[in-house]
Amino acid sequence: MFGFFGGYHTKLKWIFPIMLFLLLFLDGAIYANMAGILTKNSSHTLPMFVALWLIYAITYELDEYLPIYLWTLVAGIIYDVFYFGVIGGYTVGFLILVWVCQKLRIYLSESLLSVLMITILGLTSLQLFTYLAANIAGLSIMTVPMFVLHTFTPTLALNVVMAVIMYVPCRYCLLFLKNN
Amino acid sequence: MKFFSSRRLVYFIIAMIVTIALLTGSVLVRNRRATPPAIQQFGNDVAGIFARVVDWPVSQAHQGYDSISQLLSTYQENTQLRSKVDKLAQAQVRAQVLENENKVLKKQLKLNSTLTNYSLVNATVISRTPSSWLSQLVINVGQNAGIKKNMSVVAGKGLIGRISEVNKTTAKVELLSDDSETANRFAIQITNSAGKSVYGIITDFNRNTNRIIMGEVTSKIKLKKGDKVFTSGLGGITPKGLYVGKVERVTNSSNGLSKSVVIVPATDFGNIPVVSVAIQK
Repeated sequence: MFGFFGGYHTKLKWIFPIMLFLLLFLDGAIYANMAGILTKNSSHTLPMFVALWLIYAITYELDEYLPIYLWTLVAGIIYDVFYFGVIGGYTVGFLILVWVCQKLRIYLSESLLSVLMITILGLTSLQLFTYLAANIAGLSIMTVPMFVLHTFTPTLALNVVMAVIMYVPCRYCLLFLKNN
Repeated sequence: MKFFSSRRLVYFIIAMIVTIALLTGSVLVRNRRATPPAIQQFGNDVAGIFARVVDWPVSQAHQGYDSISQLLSTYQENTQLRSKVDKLAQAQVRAQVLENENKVLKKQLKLNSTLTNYSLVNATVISRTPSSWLSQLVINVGQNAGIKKNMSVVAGKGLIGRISEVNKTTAKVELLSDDSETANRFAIQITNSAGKSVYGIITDFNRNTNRIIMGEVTSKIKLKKGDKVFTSGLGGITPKGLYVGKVERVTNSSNGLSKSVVIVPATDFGNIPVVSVAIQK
């Protein structure tokens, strides 16, 4: 089933989803424990490790060996059900992120600056979609300038920094998985 | 090449319809039902187990950091607190005496249940929604501890919000600091130093200044800075006497017909490691 047992890239097929789900819960755990810093001055800086992991996976072309849309869909549904209780925002948002990154990859390389470019554009599309989704669901009454100033910009800043920090370990980890 | 070939357009429209249907459908379910559908509950409970495992090292690290930073200000705090402790012991004894007296008087009047009758169930926060429009905490108790939707939740010194979703072993708490219409409508009262009370509801939360607003107040009773605000128990779901905060100032609304009371919340919404759910008896 999905090449889980034996065959080429067996390690990748196990480790990728395990990391994905670990990071999924890490997002909430970090936000719960560091909310004092992350929600300072009425801003909401959201950790988005799941999104970063997906972005890195696509940049290193792991989606060629993985059912990435399936894992993204499952992770998105868990994200929505466990954190929000409203299904739709991140389920579709993560799929859009993966799709955007796949389209962008053709034009960019695997260097740090390219990864940052993909991160910025990917996270922008994810955040814009979730804002739109919250408006459709009637959950958000934030105005666009409020959203850009207090959520979008700090979140992007934090996650770009996280992407830089994660670049070296992720590169080693993913290239190792790709070649084994 | 055109971006939307006819086939792509069809896919796009179908995807959009499915997304909107999912969103509005799940919001409807969330608002109408006391508990989510069984499969969602099951998923939440399983996810809750993993979340607990992941949360453990993170919260340990957080507590370690906290205790080190607190250590630095220990001496200063100690001198301040020592003077407060003496007063507190006095207040505690007095409260105990009054409580006993209250019990006896209630018995005489044959008052079995009043609005202040509630018990607290303690819970640990295992996760928090990483979102700016839905500030929810995930806690580690659920139906198994008798939690029901809409119960009030307190943490630290005061009220923080209400239960928005209950599963078997986990529940979600929607914080008062959410400025959506359902999150913060609590019936509250303010008692001034003369013992007179103003009743109203929380109508707004100002995110920029981190203040609770009690709007549409028409009462002529004078309120001062520092007057204590607590839940009034009117409306039936919230028990009476949960501390909300202190009055900061009273402002006139723009049309001049009513006043708004600006309230400093008692709890810091940024740092909530444990909560208690108030279950009315």
